[in-house]
Amino acid sequence: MTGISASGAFTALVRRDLALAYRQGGAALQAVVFFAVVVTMIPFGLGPDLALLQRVAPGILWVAFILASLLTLDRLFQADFEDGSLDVLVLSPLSLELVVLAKSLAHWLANALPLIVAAPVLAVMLNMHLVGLVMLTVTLAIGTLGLTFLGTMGAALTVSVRRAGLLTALLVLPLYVPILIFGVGAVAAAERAQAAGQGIEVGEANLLLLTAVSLIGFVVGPFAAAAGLRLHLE
Amino acid sequence: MIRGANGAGKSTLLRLVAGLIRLSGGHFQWRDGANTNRPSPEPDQFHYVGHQEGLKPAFSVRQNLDFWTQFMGRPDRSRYGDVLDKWHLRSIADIPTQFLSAGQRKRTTLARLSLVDRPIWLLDEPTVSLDAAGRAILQNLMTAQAARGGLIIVTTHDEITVPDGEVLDLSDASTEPVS
Repeated sequence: MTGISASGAFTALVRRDLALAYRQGGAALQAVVFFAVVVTMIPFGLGPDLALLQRVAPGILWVAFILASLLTLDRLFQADFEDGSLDVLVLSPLSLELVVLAKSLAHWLANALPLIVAAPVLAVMLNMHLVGLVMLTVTLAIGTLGLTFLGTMGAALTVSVRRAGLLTALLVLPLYVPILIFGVGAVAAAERAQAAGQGIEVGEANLLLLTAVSLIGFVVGPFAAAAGLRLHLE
Repeated sequence: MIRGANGAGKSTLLRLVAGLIRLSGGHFQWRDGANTNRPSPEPDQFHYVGHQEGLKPAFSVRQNLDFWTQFMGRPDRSRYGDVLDKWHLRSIADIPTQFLSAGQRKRTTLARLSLVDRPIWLLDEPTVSLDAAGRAILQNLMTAQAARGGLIIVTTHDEITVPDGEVLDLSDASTEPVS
């Protein structure tokens, strides 16, 4: 078991998952379209009051983003579990924790990144200021790491359940609450600071706490998910 | 060689040896005499071929094999052509595996054995859906592996033989649940 073969296996797995996501297509694009449709429907529900839309925009965008990211989460390990690939992934130079890490990384690149790119465009539709828009993108980029890695736990626990989407959502959404609170808080704080004539503060408390929660997810997620997968292999 | 009726526990035994299932009781004893409660060779010493093929339906034969070679850490591309010829996969190498027959998919799965050398092979009914030619290829590979000093544990209902192989019949074994 050498370091070279382990890192080779890691990149091979990331590349395979990206190629599969690209080849099978659809899922990531569907999530982006879902995100856009949900955000587009909000003005129909609230009415065309620009000041109101501007005030609720960070919350709306974050909630819609989280819901959209759930759409692709439940398939994270399921395909590998069903076709038997997971058995062979276990018998590899990589520990199962690193397998989870590689798959999460590919999942983030294939599914979270398109959503992050779509977010600023949708933010303009809700009349957000440039500062809020930049901050939203930053918080989403940080927060999605937490969303993905905390999400792996739910995906691993429901890997053998048919139509697991709803169950995964129920397991994972409570864990997403801190990310939502600090993410929206950071955007709101940036907008307030701009209204008061100040610039964006990098060390702002919400942003730091968001980063902290994401890092906790990054550390805990792979271990918890690997433990969950081991349970299902038996 | 493990034989036994359906449900006798052949697959469970193989998954235990591969370390995919934890022991609820008992222990492993390896050739060096060590008693352990977990399989002692590292996981990357095993080839495990189970009932599920582990092929990605959207990938072609070549892409599936490519991934497994890279993932298993021996990117030895020189064998590639030989393996495709040996398993008669060359003509279907670029077809996504979802369009292949069960036997062709099985051949692709078993091609892992000749692509990456590993000392221990765990084969769970490898002859299912293989035709006579496919069984002959497998038979040759197993003989070669045994000649290299490799270990093969295979469950089957078919007539395949390994020289000097021992047969374990699970039908005789006690199937009392371990409390």
